Amino acid sequence: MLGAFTALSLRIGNLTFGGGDPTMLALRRKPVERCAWISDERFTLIWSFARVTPGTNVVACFARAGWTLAGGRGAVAGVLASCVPAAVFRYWLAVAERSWQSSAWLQAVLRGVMPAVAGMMLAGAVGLLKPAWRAGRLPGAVLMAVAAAGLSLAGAPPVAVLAGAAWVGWWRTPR
Amino acid sequence: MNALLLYVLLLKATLTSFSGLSSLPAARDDLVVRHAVLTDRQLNTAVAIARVSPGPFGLHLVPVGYYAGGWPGALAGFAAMLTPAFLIVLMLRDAARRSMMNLRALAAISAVTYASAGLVAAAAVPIARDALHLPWQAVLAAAVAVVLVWKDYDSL
Repeated sequence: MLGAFTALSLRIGNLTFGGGDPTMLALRRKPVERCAWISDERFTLIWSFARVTPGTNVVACFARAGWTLAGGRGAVAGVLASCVPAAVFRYWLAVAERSWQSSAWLQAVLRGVMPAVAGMMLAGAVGLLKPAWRAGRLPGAVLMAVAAAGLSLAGAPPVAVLAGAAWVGWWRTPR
Repeated sequence: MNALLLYVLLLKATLTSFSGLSSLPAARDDLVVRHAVLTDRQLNTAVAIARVSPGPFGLHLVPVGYYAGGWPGALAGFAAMLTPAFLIVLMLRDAARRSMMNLRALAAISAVTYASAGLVAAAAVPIARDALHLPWQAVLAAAVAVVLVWKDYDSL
């Protein structure tokens, strides 16, 4: 089981484009739908908790799925197999970018890619509000986002802004 | 920058975020604004590298760490990205599960996620300032944002 899950994590974690949700969907197929290693209810719980775990959701999903299947060794194997090759690839790209910084063609490529990255960041911000839209809580979420952006642009440290948001969320909800 | 300090700063960024990209504002605040070991251009490049390649978006911390502190920095970024993932192992224990199912805890996490959207948008402002100099670049940025949101794509 440990070997099969490690091989699955290696393939899904390093070959899926699009980040968290597409990767977690791809991860669900084999252990839940094809092999019944994990029940649907259990995987849904893992998915839900992965989304509220600080940091990168999909890595938490690999950690807990691995833990469920093979204990601590499964968690470590799942996390490392799903991330190490992709991390090495990104490291190599960063080294290559720095080495070829003076190259005219690389600068031309970056002039095209950088505006796209700015657009991606904006889309990423909107993407964080999608759960609120689905839950019918968009106005409050937008208000919170606008207030956070305003405070950040005024120089407030991000951690303080997030702590303030957590406090507001906590106290506005009845016990 | 010292790899241990870099690990601590990046860990702070990942522990206060609930998705790959949302660690960006805290990382920018510490590395670009306070310690000046990274430029907005390098941060922008790190995000580009993470988003055009397969694998978790949170791995943008590897190029961020590399630009700020060489290969030890890249390792520090990788370790900071992995560390919080193991929290879920503790979170799914029964007592922790009960406390996480508390409505107030879930509302606090949702509020942090919505605030993260604002922080990511605010962090995009200096990056856009660095990247957008010509009208076609502004049009490209707007088109990418609209297509990603409208078509529900996660990346290009």
